[in-house]
Amino acid sequence: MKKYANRLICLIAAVAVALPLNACGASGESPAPGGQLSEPQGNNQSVITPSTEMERGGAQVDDADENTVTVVDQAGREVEIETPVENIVSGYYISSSACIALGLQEKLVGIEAKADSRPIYAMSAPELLELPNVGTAKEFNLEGCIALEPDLVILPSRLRDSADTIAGLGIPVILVSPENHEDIVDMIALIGDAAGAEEKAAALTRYYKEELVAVAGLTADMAEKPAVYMGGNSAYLSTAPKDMYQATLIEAAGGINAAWELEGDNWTDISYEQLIAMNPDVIVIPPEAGYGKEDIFADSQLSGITAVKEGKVYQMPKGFEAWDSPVPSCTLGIRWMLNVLHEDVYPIEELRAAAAAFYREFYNAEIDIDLIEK
Amino acid sequence: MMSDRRRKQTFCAVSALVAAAFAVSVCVGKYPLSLMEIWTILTGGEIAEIKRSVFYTLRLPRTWMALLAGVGLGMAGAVYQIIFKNPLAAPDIIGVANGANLGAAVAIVLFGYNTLFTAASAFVGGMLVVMLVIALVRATGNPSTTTYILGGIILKAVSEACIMLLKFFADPERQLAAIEYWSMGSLGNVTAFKLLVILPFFLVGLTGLVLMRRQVALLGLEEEESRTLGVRVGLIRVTVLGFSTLLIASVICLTGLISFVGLIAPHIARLILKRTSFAACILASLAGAFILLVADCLARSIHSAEIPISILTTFIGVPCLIYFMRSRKAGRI
Amino acid sequence: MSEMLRLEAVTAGYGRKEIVRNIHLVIGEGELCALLGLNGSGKTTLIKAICGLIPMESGRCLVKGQDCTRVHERKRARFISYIPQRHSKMQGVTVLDAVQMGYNPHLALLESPTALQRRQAGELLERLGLDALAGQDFAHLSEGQKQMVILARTLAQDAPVMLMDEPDSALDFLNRNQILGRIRELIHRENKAGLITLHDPNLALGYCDRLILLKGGTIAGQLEPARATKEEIRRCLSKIYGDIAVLEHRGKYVMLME
Repeated sequence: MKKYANRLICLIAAVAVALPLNACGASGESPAPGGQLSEPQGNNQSVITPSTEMERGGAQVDDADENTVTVVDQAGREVEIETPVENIVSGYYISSSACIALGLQEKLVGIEAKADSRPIYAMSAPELLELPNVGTAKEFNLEGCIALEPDLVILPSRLRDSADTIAGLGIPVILVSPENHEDIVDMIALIGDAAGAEEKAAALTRYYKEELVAVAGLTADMAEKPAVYMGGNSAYLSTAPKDMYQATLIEAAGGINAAWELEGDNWTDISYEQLIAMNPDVIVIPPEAGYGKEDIFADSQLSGITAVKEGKVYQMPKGFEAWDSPVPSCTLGIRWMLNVLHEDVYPIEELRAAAAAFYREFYNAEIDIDLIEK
Repeated sequence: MMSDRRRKQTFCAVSALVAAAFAVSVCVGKYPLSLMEIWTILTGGEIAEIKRSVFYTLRLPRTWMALLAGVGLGMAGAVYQIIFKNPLAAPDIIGVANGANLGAAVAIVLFGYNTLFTAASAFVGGMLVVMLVIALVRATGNPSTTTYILGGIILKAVSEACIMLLKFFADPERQLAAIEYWSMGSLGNVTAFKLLVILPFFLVGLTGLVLMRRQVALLGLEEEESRTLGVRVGLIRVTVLGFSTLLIASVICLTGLISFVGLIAPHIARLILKRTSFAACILASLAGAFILLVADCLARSIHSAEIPISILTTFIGVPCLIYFMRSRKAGRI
Repeated sequence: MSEMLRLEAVTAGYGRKEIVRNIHLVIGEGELCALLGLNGSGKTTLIKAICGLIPMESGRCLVKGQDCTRVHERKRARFISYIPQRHSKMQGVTVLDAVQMGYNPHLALLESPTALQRRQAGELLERLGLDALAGQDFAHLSEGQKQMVILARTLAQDAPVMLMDEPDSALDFLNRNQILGRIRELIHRENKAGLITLHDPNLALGYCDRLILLKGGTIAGQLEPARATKEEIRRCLSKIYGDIAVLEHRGKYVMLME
């Protein structure tokens, strides 16, 4: 018997490989990315015309009597979604906020983790805080998400794998990756088309368009554009290089990014020397920073910088959203920055009024305008 | 020492434990599947397609992965402790884990957190580092176990330095967290497809080790004794290391680093059997499977978020080991 | 008596340094030879060179006419077996399994010992009076018992040439004599060639057929106690040990410091 032990072992091993491979072929599970592909529709297609100044993403709407909608998400995947969509899971704080702005909060059945650390929910849709969370971008909870039986799942593009797995189970998933203003607009339109909130999406898009035109008009003839240094979330010796969203925010508001020479598209650590050499006119602290104005003023090594000497160190308002990131209320961030850099052109009362109006219209919330300060 | 009958009983008991843990693990998860529903799915009855899919795509492969990972790490740890004549040898002694970590870090920084690329890169990284260790040992012309351990130390240090470099350049918001998270281990990303891809590598590695069991025992002797007993030590050692590295790399490329299991499962097996034969290696793989299945059940159920598995394997493994150490001291040898 | 082991002009050492030079030696069937010498004379080096544990600088080693100078371990192990001075711990290995390790040169790489071989291993243990220990942990035995098990393993290996490096060093007086007695009996009965290094010349005089004296890396002399006179023995041994006296007791010789 011992003589045959080795041969038996090899046989078992061979069977162990062959059997499951057989079963795999039968069940048809495959690693193909993306949801189900739909056949191209020839007739009766209505395509939303792109506005002249802002292009929208390639969203296409099929016939209503087909009961499906096909969209192209921000990762380039074509996704077929059955309408109407009643249950939405959003695994990303930006898309969750967008859902609220589009009036979809009642359809949300699951949101991302750590929602209670963001004031926007408490402010405009506190019932969302009761929803089960589906994990973070680091560890997404596949089973938990599927257990909620969603009709649509919205995920950030870095969770592409989880998206493929969920799509493979027959649940439509759209990926979003808002990196700049155009992306935000595309994302709003995408979610609007996918979830049947086209009108609100159009309204929000219109608002953005008008806002950007207005701000561009105000900053068009500016001679003086102050150098603005945007600190990072964890430390003030970290800043946004020229390709990050924060840089475009500064430029749209009539400023120059003090770190415009730095390469890269993520937060970059710098040294005291570099910061002193930049000598920014204004220092801005993002809303979710772990430090405050006092820390900067207290740091003796920074006392020679123009911004510190003139007391022009400001912090973005904390009670709303991270206005320094591509959230749906991003134009308020631009407006705030405009007020900070050019108060004469855009006084704070106008900012407060604009913010109140925005949140009232799109988030159905009354805000505390005193929280808007510098 | 144990009689044959008691040994058979022990193996049956441990196998039963593993089977029980497997059954429990299959029932645990955030997606609600009752026992009745699972039974219906297994017997091919009528049930909602989504439930069947979740079971076969997510739940079952994950449980299988926990079993296979435990078996692989336990077996590899036991074999390493024999051939390196060192009870503190763990599956990462010659750097396969660090190499896999480096491979994963490279993939995460270059391609973002894509499980398939990360897994492939981790696998290649692990195998590559071990190949470099073997090459280094050959270059020194002194293929003793000490040289291997030294080579492992060198390559581990180099890998760690490279990982630090990558972490420095990584985007702290996304990539850095992903790299750290990978090194904590998780079974959450396992799907049926990924499991089937690594299965051939796993089985080749495991079968290779099982077939070479007699040579493994011979490598446990002092080098002079092995050689004069006719063992071509240089060749055999490289072959055994190759199989075990294949085994470990195929597991951790999907799960990330799982600590402690490969170190203590062999000790538990030896403390039960009081033998250092291949039977102890097999018991070590069963013990490893049990620990990992239990750890994975807890990882999913204790907290609303999933806890990285290395934390749990350590917290489960240590009391087991302490219990056995004490029972040994009390003279129940 | 046919020739079993032949060494021709063997030179070996560690690195550049030569320890033994130009060794010529022939050992025949059924002959147990002792290798005597002071510390540093090269006894262990020579043994290791024959085993292939260190490479030979020059010279040849033949077993039963076959050149074993540069063969790989597996092939050599069929011709030459070796009992080292310090054996492995073998913790958790049963005595029976330890003995069966000796079958390695006769088994294919992945093959396990057959039922017949297992039985033979048991019989070997019985022959050496160790059958009661068959299921015990090797590490729990006494030194003397361990050496006997290693001897049983070497017998299982069944190589025509048996080399042993101070097999008595860790044993007490009684065990020393016992194991040498066994070795002598085995060499004679199985018609093997035995070469054994010893510190104590008295043991050599008592149990070995021929004494080979090593000094400064070369053979200073050879001696067959059965055929030599007391005076010849004394003269030969004094080449290494200096001022010594040789006494006789019941046909056996004993050496003392003068």
